[in-house]
Amino acid sequence: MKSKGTLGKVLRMVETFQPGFLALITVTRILASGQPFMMIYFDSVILDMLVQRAPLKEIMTVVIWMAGLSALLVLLRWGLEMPLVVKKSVISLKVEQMMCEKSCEMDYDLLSGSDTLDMRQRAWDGTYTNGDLGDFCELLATVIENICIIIYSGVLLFPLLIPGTGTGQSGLAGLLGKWYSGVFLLAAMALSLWLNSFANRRSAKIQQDIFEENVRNNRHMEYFRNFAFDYSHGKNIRIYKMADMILGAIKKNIVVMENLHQKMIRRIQKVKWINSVSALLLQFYSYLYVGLRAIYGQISIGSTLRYISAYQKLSQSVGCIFNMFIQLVVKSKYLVYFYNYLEIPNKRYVGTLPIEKRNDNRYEIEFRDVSFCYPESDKMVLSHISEKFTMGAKMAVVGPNGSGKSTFIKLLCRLYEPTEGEILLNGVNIQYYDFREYVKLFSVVFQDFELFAFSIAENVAASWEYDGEKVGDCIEKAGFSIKLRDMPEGIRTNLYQMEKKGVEISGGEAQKLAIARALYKDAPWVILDEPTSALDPVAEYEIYSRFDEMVQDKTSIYISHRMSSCRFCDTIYVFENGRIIQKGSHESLMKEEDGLYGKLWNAQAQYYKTS
Amino acid sequence: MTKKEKATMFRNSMEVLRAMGRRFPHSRWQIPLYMACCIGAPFMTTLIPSLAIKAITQGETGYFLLTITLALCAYWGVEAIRNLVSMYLDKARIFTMSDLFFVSFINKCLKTDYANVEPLEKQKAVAKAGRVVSYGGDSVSRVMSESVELAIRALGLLIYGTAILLLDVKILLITVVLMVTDIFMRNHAIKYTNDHWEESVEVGRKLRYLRGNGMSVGAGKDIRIYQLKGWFHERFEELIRQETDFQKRTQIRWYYPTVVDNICFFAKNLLAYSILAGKVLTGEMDVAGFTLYLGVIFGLDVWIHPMALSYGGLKSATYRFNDYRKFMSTPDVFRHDGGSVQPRSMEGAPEIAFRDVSFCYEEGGEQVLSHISFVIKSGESVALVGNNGAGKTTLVKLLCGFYPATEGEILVNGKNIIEMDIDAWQEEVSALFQETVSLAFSIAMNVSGCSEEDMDRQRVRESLRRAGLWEKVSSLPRKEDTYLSQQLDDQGVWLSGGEMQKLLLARALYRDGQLMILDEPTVALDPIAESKVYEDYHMLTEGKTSLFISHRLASTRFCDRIIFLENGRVAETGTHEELMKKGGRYKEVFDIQSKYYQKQGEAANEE
Repeated sequence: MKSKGTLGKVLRMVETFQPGFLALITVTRILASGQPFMMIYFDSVILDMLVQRAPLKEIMTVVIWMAGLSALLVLLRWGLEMPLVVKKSVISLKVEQMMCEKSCEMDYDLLSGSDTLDMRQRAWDGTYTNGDLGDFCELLATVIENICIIIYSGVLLFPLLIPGTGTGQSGLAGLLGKWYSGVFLLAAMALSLWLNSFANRRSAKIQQDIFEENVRNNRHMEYFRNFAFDYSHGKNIRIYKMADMILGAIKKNIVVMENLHQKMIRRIQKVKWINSVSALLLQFYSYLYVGLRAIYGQISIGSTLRYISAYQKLSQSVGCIFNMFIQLVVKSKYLVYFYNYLEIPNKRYVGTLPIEKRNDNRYEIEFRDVSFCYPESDKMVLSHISEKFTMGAKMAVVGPNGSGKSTFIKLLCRLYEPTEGEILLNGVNIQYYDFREYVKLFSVVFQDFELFAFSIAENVAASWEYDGEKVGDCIEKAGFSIKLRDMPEGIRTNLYQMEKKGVEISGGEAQKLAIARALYKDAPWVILDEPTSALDPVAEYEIYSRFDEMVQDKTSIYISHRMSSCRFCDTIYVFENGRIIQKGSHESLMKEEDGLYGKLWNAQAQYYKTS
Repeated sequence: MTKKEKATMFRNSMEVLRAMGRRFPHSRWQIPLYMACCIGAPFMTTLIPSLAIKAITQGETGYFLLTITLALCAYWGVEAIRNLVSMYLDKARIFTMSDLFFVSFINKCLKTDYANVEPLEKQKAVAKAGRVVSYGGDSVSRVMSESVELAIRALGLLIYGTAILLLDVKILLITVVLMVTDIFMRNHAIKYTNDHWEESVEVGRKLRYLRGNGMSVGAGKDIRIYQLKGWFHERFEELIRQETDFQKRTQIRWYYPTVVDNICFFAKNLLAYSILAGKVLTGEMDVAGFTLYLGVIFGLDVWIHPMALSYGGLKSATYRFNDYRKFMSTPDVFRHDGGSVQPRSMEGAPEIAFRDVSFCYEEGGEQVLSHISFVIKSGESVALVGNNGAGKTTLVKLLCGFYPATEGEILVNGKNIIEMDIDAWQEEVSALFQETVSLAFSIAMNVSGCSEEDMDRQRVRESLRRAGLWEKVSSLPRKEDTYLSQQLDDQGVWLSGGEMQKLLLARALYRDGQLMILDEPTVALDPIAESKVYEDYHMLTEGKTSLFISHRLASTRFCDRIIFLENGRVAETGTHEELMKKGGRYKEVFDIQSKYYQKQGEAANEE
């Protein structure tokens, strides 16, 4: 059964995260369940001793034993709970770690697909509202606890089955005296359990249905919650007075959720009372049975409470186990989302060829009749691109918005795979290469690049370890050193706010660091997508003038709306509607009278004519 | 606990409960009913066995049957009521927190002065307050539940304590000793947890950051190209080490009270049993009484420990509530309601004047703007240029009423904006900021800033047309009602960078403010679209006062005047021709940028 498979997986995974967690839970539960039984047993002994007027001294001896053992058990149990709590918190973190690392590794086109986003949301909703792995294991441990209780209570109840002193009695008393009268106890318990499990299954289903309906509402609330913590919208919201619109949406969402909650209460109400009735019947019957037997003298007065308690615990536990099982099924359903997410297959790593190391940076890439549309749309973003890219060349890519320039780069870097056609590296289809190897060939500054909240040096080196001198050198080339001099901790300064003493940097400064990062990687292909959009003219000029120095013998692609950048590139590719419509040097393209290039150039250059 | 602390706990609890009472009037009787059930039920549990024993000892079947029937029915009736009421109270708690506190919180975040949410210190305050209105931990919801639980346990303690007092003072004494030592030891543990609360918040914050970035689609490209998975791994490992260490230290401190508890408990056991057994043996008490009193004495423990827990829980929850209250009462520097001047009645484009304005973000911090003075005449279009870090963005923030000037005055039509209703002033402004982010609502909602009932649909379409986005929007199945991104609607769409910029332009057009501010509006546009923006600039800013901020000096050709900022000061002002003739900084920067656009020969001449 599917849920059983999940059970095994969860247990194995927990053991890997925190060895000993399961064993610890089991032991603590055995201790926890044992202590009350011990008290019950001793209590009944003491009660009987009182009825029989035993001497105080003897009674106190028993009390000392009881108190002592009890204290010992409790201390032991709580002592073991300590490492348990520690381990549980680690398990929660481990879960997050795995999800995060999986997301880092996953094929890019899958990461951004709405299926994946949905799966991830469900996994989070599931672990968030139904507890995570740690809670799941506690549930399992409770099952163990209940099994122990069943055993303990069975032991305590056993004497009931022995034919009592009332063998000579007649009528009801006689019936009760028979050993098989215990069967009635079991029958009562079975009835009560059946009623309970019916009610519990119903309410679990109700809760699950409501949960399903609420998943989307919760996701919306998460989005709204972010308005508090993400101030980047703040300026626009104030100028355009969008606050009321947002609050309106939030309130509507709350109304929906409240109605759902009310619906759930009403439906559960109809079912919950059954639990109370069945518990009532059970208790009534147990008091009746045991009480009558005591009145008829078949069992001692002291033992009545013992039997009643043990019987109660027994039926509670048996009921619990059924209930736990239902909950296990429900919980494992949510954990299945988590597993599904973690088990999304990676196509990109299927290729196993390593890239041959070349000192001459001669990696030739060819697009053969490549067309592409994004996974969830039909629109062809790239259309029949066939190009061989000369090595060591400085290439510029220009074109109107939406012409496919950025998509072209993403395909080149193998973030997406062509819908038709193939891309070859030195004659071999890039799908045969191991993704991690392939990606080493590229240093990229994306249009929407991101820097992370670690130190400047770690950002530039994209790693925990770095060569300080090389970092400094790349920062110099990217034009960031002036700003760096203002920072007392230099390249060890932390960015943003994850660590203490993190600093904020402007968009332009970030852009320079992104360039430095690309330089540090020192890959044979350098791709820059709008790398100077946030830079002022002087900084932009610095980048332009150092471009040769930065790029040297590498192959480089420069995408920009700043047509000026075309002047220092050897070949310019002009994109329009997903095709390359013009190709050549600046001079040759300017000669093409009706060409798009000319139009683009003049549209910008006209303002710089020195009149 | 100091008197002040007591006051805080009580005051905050009452405030929260009163809020719940307002939102859910039924809770006013539901809470007392719930409390009665919670106190009554355990007492009945203690009573029933003793009644049974009594009836059994008497030996009469009929009496026995009657007794247990009545007792059990009463008990389970109470339990059923308690279960039902608790469900309603759960709902009341959850939705009081959402509907009242959370909504008020978001309201404050969105409407208070921008200066109250952007700086780092303020962000931390927002985060702290935000925790109070989120699920889990020391939230408003917890204040509600713990205060009720505390009251229940205190009352239960009182009742049981009185019963024991009537029995024998000695037992009560040792119970009190037990309780006091318990609270004392636990207080120590609570204090430790509170003092190191920052640490656990840290872990949470880092975790949120790692999770948010590791799993974001935006960062995904860089993560793959630069193979950053390893870095995330290391960070997680470190986080786990931190958390483990913190938990270990905290848990040990919670063990000490347990040890002490057990010692006292041991002593109490001995004492209780010996006293009670003694009384039975001397005939003072019967066996049923023994059972009852044993139940009461040990029933008391059921109240003590949880009460200490509730007390501790309530204390920390009410403390955190102070963070919320503190944030909510952060004053606004600007006036948000009926200031002395209502510029909504503004006719025609405003005249803007900066008089000796200086600004720094923090007291004694670096001066970002220094003694800035200039005048923008009504209807004039001004280009604000300068290198990064010169202060352009800050100047705009001051003009829009996001931050107050540290020194000097900012005047609109002669009136200081500090004295105006800042909301009304902001409604006169159409701005395009650098952050090209949109909200995950519909296109029309993004353009109009209103919900569907309040928007002017015709105007939305017109604005989209003028911005050049209508063609794209009308091709979508739900047109302008299509949602952006899939956060709030599965059928949502994504816009490209250029389309996004057009959307934001449409929004500025919809507003049609008398002051137009355009901050780097052409960054993501291709040359042809960029050129169109410059051509349209006149159309867009006709009759309005406008401020155009850009690195691209091409834009300055269209403006009446240029203000060149450098290091927080006004370095040069004038028209393009005047500044070129002057031969100062402006000319220098213009030449650098235009270099590559000159014809080949000219470029060679310049070398």
